[in-house]
Order: sequence, then structure tokens, then C-alpha cells
Amino acid sequence: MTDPQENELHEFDIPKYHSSLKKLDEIFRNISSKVNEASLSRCPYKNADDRCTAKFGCRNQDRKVTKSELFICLGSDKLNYQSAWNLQESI
Amino acid sequence: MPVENEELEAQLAFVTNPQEQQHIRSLWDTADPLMQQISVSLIKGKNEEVYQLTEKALKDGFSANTVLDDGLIAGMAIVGVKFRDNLIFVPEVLVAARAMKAGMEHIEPILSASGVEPIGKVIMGTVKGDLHDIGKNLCIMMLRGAGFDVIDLGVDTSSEEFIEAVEENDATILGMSALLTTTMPNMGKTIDAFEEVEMRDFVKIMVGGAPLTQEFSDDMGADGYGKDAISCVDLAKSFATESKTT
Repeated sequence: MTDPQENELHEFDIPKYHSSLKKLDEIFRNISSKVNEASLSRCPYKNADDRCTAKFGCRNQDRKVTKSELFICLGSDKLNYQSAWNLQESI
Repeated sequence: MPVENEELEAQLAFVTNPQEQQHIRSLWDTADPLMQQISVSLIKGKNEEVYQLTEKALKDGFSANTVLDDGLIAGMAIVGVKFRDNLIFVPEVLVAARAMKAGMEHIEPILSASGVEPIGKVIMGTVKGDLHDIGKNLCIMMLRGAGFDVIDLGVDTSSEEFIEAVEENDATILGMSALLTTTMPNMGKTIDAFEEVEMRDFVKIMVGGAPLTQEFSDDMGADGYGKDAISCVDLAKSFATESKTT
């Protein structure tokens, strides 16, 4: 980690930092609102490549992949994806 | 005018609204190539790259404000647009948030040295028997973005682990998540465990997760119920304000 004492050029502008936090909060609030909407029609564990990022079992997982790859998601998103989750199984 | 970094220029192509593109482009027009590279690495979720580039930028004399605004937040702005437009999904957002956290590891000591304290310390975890983590991780992303110091206990967390973490970190806020009706009661059991060790009065407990309701939260004795990540961060802020005024 950076030692703040190491670099005297670091002049930290606190009001500017608070304004940065506001910007970040706005970005995250927009993301969170979209999550609420998107989760109704797409499993939140499914990434942009239709791969499953869940750390638990799911009937929609196609496991015929190489060891380093994520499972392929076969879910149609028209189904209730939650019923496919197997929560007894940790991956 | 195209931005200097070709990869960033390619990312900007995803922003289809001309006004929005112009606005984001303007953020990078004057930004140093190193800041642009931090943004690209963050958008791609390369946490180690973000860690190293942020360290380099600060060592090269860029201010923490510049790194935060022109590198990390500018990158996260693109992530937000891509997510809104269904070009990426929740896992990619969380990977970008992890990269942001990696960069923040170098900014935080500077914040602290400048007298900026976190607005509160929060322990977060998914309860025993539950392996879901997306909701919790989104809450953590938002809490960190709001200026909280968050300790993530991960999934399948026992009451003892929650108690130990609150005690060790001197945290005043605890957030528990559950997505299953079968694991939801473990929240109540954890609250009872805090009562048993006489620590309940020292910590505000908030709960969340798809099957939960305000009524269930009240019945088990939680201090607050967050129906989503936005309400989670708003609740935590209200707890932090409350603890400062009492």
C-alpha cells in the first residue's frame, strides 16, 4: 500500500473528495435500481458470456467445460431460475 | 477528438447516447494516459492491474483526488452505462467493483492521513447455510462507495463468526443477508446470540434478502430492513448518524 508520508506531493482536497463520493454514490444508485429490474428477467449470477458465476449448484449449469472455465448457463431466463438452484452443493 | 488510449476509445463506443458520450469523453480529454489506463483496467475488472497502476500514479505524484476522479470513478461511470444498456451484467459490475476496491487500498491511507475517517464500520455476511452472495456484494459495493469501512465475512457465516467480527473490529453496524426461507431464521438466531453475549446494545443490526419483509425483520428484533442495496446504504447512514449524535 502507498505510504502517505512517502509522497509530499499528495495534497488531498477533502471537499473535492466528498463531491467524488457523491458522484460514485449516484453511479451505484443507478446500478442498484437497474439490478432490481434486471433480476426479474435474468439470473444475477449469469455473466455477459452466459456463464454461471454462482458458487453453488444449479440445474441450469452445463458442466462440460474445462477445469478453469465457468459453467455454461443453460437457463432460458423465462423460467424462475431460483427453483433450479441447489443450495446444498458448494462449488 | 478521440481519447489517447485506444482501448478506452473502444469502450466509449459502447456509450451510444451522443450527449452522454460527449460528457464522458470530456472527463478524459485532459486526463493523463495513466488515468485512462486505470479506467480501462477497472472497466475490464483487472484488479491487480488497477492495484499496480494506482500505486504507480500516486508514486508519480498524481494526487489521490485525480486518481479517484479521472481513473477510478471515470471507469466506473462507463461500467454503469454498459450495465444500464445490458452490455454487461451483475457479475461484471461486481468484478469492476472489486477492481475499484483494489485501487482504493492505496487511496485509503491518504484519506486517513488527511483526517477523513470512514463514516462507520460495517460487518457484512450471508447467514449460516446460505451460499448466496450477490445481494450482499452489491450492498458492500454501495456501502464502500458511500465511505463506509466494510468487513466482508462472505457466505455461510455462523453467529459466532458475526459476534467475533463485531468484537474484533469494534464495528457498530452489522448486516446479514439470506435468500432462502430455510436460512432466514438464522438471522433471528444470530440476533439472539448477540443478546446472550450482552452485545446487542452495541451494534445496530440490519437484515436483507429476497424472502424477507419488514414484518419478519421486526419480529426477529432487527433494527432495520433493507429491501435492496439502496435501502441498505441509507439504513447504514442513518445508523451512523444516530451513533454520532448519541
